[in-house]
Amino acid sequence: MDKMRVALTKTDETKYVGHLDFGRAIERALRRAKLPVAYSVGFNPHMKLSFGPALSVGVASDAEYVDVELTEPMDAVDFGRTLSAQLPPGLAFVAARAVFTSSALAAALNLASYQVTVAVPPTPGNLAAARTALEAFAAAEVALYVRRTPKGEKTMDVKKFLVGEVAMAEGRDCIVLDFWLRMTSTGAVKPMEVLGVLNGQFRFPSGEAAFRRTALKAEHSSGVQDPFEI
Amino acid sequence: MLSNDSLLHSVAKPARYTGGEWNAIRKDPAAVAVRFALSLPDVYEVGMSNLGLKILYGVLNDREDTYAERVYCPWPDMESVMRQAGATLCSLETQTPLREFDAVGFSLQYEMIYSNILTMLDLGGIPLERTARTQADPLIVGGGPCAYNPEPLADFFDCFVIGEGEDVIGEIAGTLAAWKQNGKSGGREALLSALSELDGVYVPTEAANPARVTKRIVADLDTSPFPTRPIVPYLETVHDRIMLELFRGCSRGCRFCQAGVVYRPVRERKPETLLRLAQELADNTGYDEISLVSLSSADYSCLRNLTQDLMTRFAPQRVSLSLPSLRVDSFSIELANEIQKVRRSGLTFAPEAGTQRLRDVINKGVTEADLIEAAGAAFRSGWSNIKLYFMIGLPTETDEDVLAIADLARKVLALARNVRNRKVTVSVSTFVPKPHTPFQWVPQLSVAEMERRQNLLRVAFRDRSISFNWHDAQTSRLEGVFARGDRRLGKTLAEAWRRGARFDGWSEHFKPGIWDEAFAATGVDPDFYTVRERTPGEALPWSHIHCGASQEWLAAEWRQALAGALTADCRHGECTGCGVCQDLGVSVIDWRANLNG
Repeated sequence: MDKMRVALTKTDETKYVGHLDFGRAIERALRRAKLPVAYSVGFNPHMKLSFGPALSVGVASDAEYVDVELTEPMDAVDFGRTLSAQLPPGLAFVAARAVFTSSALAAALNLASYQVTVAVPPTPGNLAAARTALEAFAAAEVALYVRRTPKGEKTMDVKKFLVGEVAMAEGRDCIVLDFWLRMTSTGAVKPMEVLGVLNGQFRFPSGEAAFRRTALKAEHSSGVQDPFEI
Repeated sequence: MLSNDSLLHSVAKPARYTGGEWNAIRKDPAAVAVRFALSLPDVYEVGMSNLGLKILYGVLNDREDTYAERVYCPWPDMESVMRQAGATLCSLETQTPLREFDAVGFSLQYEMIYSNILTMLDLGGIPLERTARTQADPLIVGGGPCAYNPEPLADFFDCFVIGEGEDVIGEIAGTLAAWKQNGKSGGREALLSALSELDGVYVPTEAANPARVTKRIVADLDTSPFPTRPIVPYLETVHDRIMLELFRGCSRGCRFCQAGVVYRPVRERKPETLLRLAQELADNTGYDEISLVSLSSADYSCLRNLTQDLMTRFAPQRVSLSLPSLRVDSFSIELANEIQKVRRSGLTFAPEAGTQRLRDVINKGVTEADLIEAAGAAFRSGWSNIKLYFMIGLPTETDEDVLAIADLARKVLALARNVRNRKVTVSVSTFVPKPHTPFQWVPQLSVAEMERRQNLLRVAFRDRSISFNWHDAQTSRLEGVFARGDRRLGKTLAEAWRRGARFDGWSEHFKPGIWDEAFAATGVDPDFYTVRERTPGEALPWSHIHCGASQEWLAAEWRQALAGALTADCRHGECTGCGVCQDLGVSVIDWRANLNG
């Protein structure tokens, strides 16, 4: 079975496109590109695609991955060039590589790094408040976030999903946070929810925030792998 | 972008407002003479599904001097956060505030979107009333089926396009470009005066009080522009597939149907043209489905050959076909069998009325035997889910006619005795008399009477073996008011909008109480437009708008209706005298004769 693993980015222009809509856009781009994509058999054949873990609506991404099953082997560079020409302006091709694995991407990729840009001027006062908030957050045993959806409320401990510490940097007119989140079979927290807890419970300075997924990795007993290494 | 983010993070489906889709046109706004915003004043998913706007977007953007962008109505959650933030409604392509465009065109597809027009003008920073606009404000243009009775909207529009827009929209852009090049000399009046000279353009000012405006029509659809690079949305829209327009017009002559009159005559595209367009569309969009659209696609003269050719070509490309409207006959079932070999969803038939007598009144040439035969064939070939469309409130309808709907539905269900998971759905809308039809003079049912007749059916369908749905009576009443309304309704519309009327076509947002208050506050009696019978000689609010069909013919058709007499389709038979071809210098174009000859 020939499978091509593709890395893509979602820019600010497409960050509000949801996971299913993103999937449909990739399918249509593959069709326009007339690439030899494999289809399932049966009454309602569909493209054999496997997507990485869903990205929250409103989050841009440098790290979207799709596995595309092909009916014939293809050169990764040709594949990338052909697909690239058919991608809408807000989606960009990064890399492609033939892979030989049967594991589903969404299950394998269980670590995500995020960058949150908070539009707060990095004045000494704001930076001090931000540092204090992050220290208190790091020291806290739990940090509960109540997720409200039309279906009801769910309380999650944000810290259970956080891997390592929240890093802080000073940007121009903003404060930038970087952190890793783990996705488990029972759930995940969104980067907005991390910032929500920081703002709400730890008095991290509030400002308009932009979110970006910067990397996805696969963590298992023997270590951490890049998506193209799996 | 950051300031926009705070709005978009807090609304449902933010991709409604962000654009950037495949095939969206990117031009340098500074390099064009005319900037046009095109809209259908409903939510994105509905607006993006309209074929007419796709055509106009293509025609305008093919002009080097014009950039056409899109804008749709913000859903109430978005309107609310925009108002809190003081944000202006902007175009999808370049995020330009609406007030900065040279023209904003609204496609008027149905009456229940009228209040959304005011929302969009207001959020776009444009004065609602045309008399309050200056030459710095955009020209507000209306078009589409509801422009055939433009008077209820005359306070808010600078001009209306009557009929088919693909030729005249370019003339409007050209007029705007020339006016701007002359330094807008003569002001807004000069522009409106120049526009009123264009055939098919109605300018509702007191000065330009025209005797009659005749619709624009494309004589030869086969050579007229059809966009093969339509925008492919990210969000799933109502019609999220290739729309291949087989032909325009329908002359079956159903007497309730406005489209059947105003889009006359039938003009087909050649099968080879359609095949070429279909391939270009599939290549340029990546869609996996082609819908064969028209007012009555099963009537396309070369349909069997066309579908076979399309399937031969597209099955290997994994593109499927769909026929949105089926006739009630075995030919349609055969076709549906051929086309939908795998996807056995549901089939829909529209007998429209329950008794033969009433079907004859409306000139729906369908018999009970036709329906039984078609439905039987559908069940036998593996369909399990059949939907039947009817109307109540048609002229001369009695309780017997209403109850016959239930009888007919039960007969259809009985055909499926041995079918697993059988399902029959009956959808009953309420007839709303429309201008330019043989029924334009008849009284509409009162709300109480609509509900009484709906209740007759609810009782008749109590056994739940058939699922029954019906239209909200208050919605049908309001639709009826504006369908045959006059200029006095402008005040009522503005008042209702100020009191919070939004998305009236959506049951979750429609508030009939607001409209009752607005009618009372503006001293307008809605019954004047609905339940009243018009006298034969009465001047109708749309009598200055000419769709080609003569008033005499419409009146003759009304008399035929009362006599229960049928009028044949002129497509293959003799001329039935509606007057369109003679008056507009066009003719029926049907390619079957050519193929056989």
